Amino acid sequence: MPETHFEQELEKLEVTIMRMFTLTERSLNKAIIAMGERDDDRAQEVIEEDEQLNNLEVEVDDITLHILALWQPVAKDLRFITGCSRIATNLERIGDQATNICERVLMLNQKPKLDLMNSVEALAEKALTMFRNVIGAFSDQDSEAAMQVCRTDSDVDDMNIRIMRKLIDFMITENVIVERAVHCIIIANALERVGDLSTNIGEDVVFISRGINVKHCDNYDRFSF
Amino acid sequence: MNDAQVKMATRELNVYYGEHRALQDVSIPFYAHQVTALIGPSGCGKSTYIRCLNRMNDLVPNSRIEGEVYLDREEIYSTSMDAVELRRRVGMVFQKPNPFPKSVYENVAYAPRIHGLARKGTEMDQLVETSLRKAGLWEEVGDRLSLPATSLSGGQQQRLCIARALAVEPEVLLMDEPASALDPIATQKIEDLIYELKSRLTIIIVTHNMQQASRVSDRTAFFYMGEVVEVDDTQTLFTRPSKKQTEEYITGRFG
Ligand SMILES: Nc1ncnc2c1ncn2[C@@H]1O[C@H](COP(=O)(O)OP(=O)(O)OP(=O)(O)O)[C@@H](O)[C@H]1O
Ligand SMILES: [Mg+2]
Repeated sequence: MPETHFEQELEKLEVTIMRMFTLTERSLNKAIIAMGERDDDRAQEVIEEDEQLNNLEVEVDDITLHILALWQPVAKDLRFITGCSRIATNLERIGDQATNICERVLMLNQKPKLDLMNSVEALAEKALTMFRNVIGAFSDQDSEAAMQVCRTDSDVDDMNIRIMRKLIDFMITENVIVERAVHCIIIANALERVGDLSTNIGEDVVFISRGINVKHCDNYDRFSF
Repeated sequence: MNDAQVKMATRELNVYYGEHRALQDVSIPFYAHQVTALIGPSGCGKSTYIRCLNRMNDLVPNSRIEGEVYLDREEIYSTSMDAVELRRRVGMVFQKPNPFPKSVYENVAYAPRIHGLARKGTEMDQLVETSLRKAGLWEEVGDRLSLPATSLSGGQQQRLCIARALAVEPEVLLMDEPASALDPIATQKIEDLIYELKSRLTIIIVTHNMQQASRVSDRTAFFYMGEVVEVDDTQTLFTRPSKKQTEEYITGRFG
């Protein structure tokens, strides 16, 4: 059966969102590499590329508004459209976090590397994995995989808290590292936000595919599909 | 919502036109003071079904009905139920406005007079005014009651038909595509009216307009090929229908 005009519009939305996912993944990955390799150029690139994500978010807003106004979609179509709109917001924010990380990387790179960066890198790995998993959950419309992402968010939260405690202890004993430690805390917080935002996207995926709202639920184990 | 009182219900309703079975085992409860929308593709049996609810289908030659239809727990096809009284309690508004070729006043007064609901002139005047007000038409025609009904606009004629139906104080109002012949403004007025009226009665409406169904109704039943595929709260049915056929129909991917 040939695609209807409406289906073409939905496809346009999906393609745009997938581009946002791809660009966001690239930025975040690059930011984390820039951090590990202390690479100023790469960090600078991430900061400059953020503009593209901002533009794509606006594009998604336009497409969703257009579809809603012209077709008054219902059921799964409606959930997909409103879900994509929220996902775009979350992706743009993840892009902002990649930028935040890179701004701190540039400052950190002016001084010798702190040993504590190892645990920040471990956190980065975890946050990136969460984000990649939620991309898969979205493209497969797999609500169980999405819930799994939501469930790992507490691990990222815990890692962030442990890093913060360690850094605070260090700052008290060794005041030469205070400035770098602050940058590290900001990076760790940015990574923790990536976890939160990936969780939001996971919740949107569940909403799109199942029509169930799992936002702000204290125990994701209540839901399994 | 579902502990609301059941005003009407059908149980295992089957309708045949000759050999052809137009409805198959349709069981739906209709809750008091709620609007239930009946949707589905052309020919799926919506009009057949809604006509069974006040025995209008009895008038169709060659048709046969099996199953039960309840109004307040009373079976309406049982011999004890008087068809005239039934049609007073369960009123109907059709797709095309069909006023009698008489004055606006006479259109509304006709049925109450037959049913002996108002006797004295002033009593009847009062009943006509109240009915026209309930139908949201008084402001527009209150000073033109002696005009022929056919001189009104289509939307006004349809509200006149609603006033006519309301004049005998029905408990249930059946509407078969009441706005499909009207422009968007007249349609809006009918939809607002439905919203107002549900505090007084139970409404069952057939519509081909998905947006209309989702706007005006509390519950929606999806019919396909003479069967009910799904009945649910309207909000649920339009955001996460449980049947694939419903999803395909309401999202316009049918067939
Ligand atoms: N008086 C009749 N005599 C014989 N068959 C009839 C009669 N009325 C309806 N039918 C048949 O019964 C089936 C259901 O018709 P019905 O008018 O109830 O459908 P509907 O859902 O109201 O369609 P539409 O949306 O087009 O109004 C159709 O196959 C129709 O041809
Ligand atoms: Mg019909």
